[in-house]
Amino acid sequence: MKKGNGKKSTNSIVVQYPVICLVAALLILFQIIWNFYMHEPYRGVDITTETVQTILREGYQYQVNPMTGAPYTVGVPTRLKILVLPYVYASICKVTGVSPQTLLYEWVPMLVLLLSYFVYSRWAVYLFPENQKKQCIFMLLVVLAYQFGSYTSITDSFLVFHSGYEGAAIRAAVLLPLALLFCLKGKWISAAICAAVELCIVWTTYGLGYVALIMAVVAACKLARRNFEKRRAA
Amino acid sequence: MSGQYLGLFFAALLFLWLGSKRVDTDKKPLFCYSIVMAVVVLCPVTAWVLLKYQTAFYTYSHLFLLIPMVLVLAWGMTEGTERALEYLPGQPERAGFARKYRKLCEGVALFLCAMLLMLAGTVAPAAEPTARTENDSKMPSEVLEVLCTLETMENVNLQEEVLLAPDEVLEYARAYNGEFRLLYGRNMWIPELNAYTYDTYLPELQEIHTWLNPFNDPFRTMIPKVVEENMTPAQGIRSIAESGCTLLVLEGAQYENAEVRNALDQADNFVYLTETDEYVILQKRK
Repeated sequence: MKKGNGKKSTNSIVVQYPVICLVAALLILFQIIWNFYMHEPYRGVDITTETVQTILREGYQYQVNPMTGAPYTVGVPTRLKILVLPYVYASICKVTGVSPQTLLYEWVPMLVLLLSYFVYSRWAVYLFPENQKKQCIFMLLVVLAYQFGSYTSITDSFLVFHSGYEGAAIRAAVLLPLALLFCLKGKWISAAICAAVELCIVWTTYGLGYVALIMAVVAACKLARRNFEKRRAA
Repeated sequence: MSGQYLGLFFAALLFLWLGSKRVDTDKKPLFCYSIVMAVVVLCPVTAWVLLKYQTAFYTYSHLFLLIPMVLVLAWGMTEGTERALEYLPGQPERAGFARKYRKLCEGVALFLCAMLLMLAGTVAPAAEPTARTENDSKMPSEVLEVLCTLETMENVNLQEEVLLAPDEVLEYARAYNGEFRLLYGRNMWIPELNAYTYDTYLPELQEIHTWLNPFNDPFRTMIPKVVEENMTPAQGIRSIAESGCTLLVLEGAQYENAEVRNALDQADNFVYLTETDEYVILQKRK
């Protein structure tokens, strides 16, 4: 019943505001083709592809330096070992037989971009629960903000468009907005799960990560606001 | 002029604050969070605390990811578009000219928002240059040609060979195939990558790297690095032979250099194996 309602609602948005939906869909399609199929990724200081190739070749243990293929002489930091993302990618490559390049440079960034837009669509519903037109406009503006927003190598859109397979990109485009939404809705357990996911996919260098910080700031904001309301009522 | 999203973000916040009476009570924590996070990131004292929190591995600019910029921009602009239309004559439910006029104004408002985002952001596809895709492996064709050649040659057993090549080839070798063993990896010329291993390189290897890549520098100035300190071709070839390298890839122009050819002939350590359009592949004599 619920599923049926959701489908009907999506259909009605597309039927009621076809131009906005079409422009947004075309822009997303352009972003996928242009960034993931027509341009090389920005690898910078990332060794995910090398690590995936090493895991596929040597097995699931960090005994070989991904950058050289030679056995480690001194070793590897433990913080590198706890990152699960390369293992996940290597497992997918092994199971599906797809090449690491195709998975990392095309499929995963595409999925991350779509996931990011899905999270923002939840934001649209949260911000404008009764107004589908505003939801559509909001989503179009998010797509536009992504399109024109890759002006430095640390903006969320740059990370998704040019190194979408990295944990940092998943964190910036999916986890942070999702965790913030969970915090505002008071779903602290879900936000804590986001924090745990961040620790597994981003090298937080023994820190707690950004999601934990967001949780703390939102909690502080809510507490301050509650106290303020109480005082005003008194 | 690019990268002014922060300015737009504050404009959006100001706009939302001015109309805060219309913002639902349950959305106000988002408003508070955005202001607090922006202040915390921009204030030097709190930013210093955050820098300590995120550790020295990340830079100050990474902290801006904590500010929900896209979210607030889109929220503010959506509200702005709607409120601007409230000043238009005619009722939205009315059919006919007034309705069409209203839709046109909506389109214009959205177009202006898009222009604003474009002017504040960038029309360039990326801040860092990324090359056009030339093949499925997402690497330059001339590099792919070398790696494919090495991979398919019958008298080359990748598991037993140690490859040395110019940086542009080594950069992609391990990402292309996990069987390649390199004399040194990308962390030789990208020091930040040393964070991924405790292993370090000997000074001799660094000298070999400098000799093999005289034009390699982060700013791509095409000025050779301290030429007078570089090894001579004879010293370079001897060092490479002693380093454990068994497969040597040289740029065509470098191989054609008379001094390098003389050094190779005199040392007699490496034999010509094959060549591609851009590179020559040599193998250490067994």
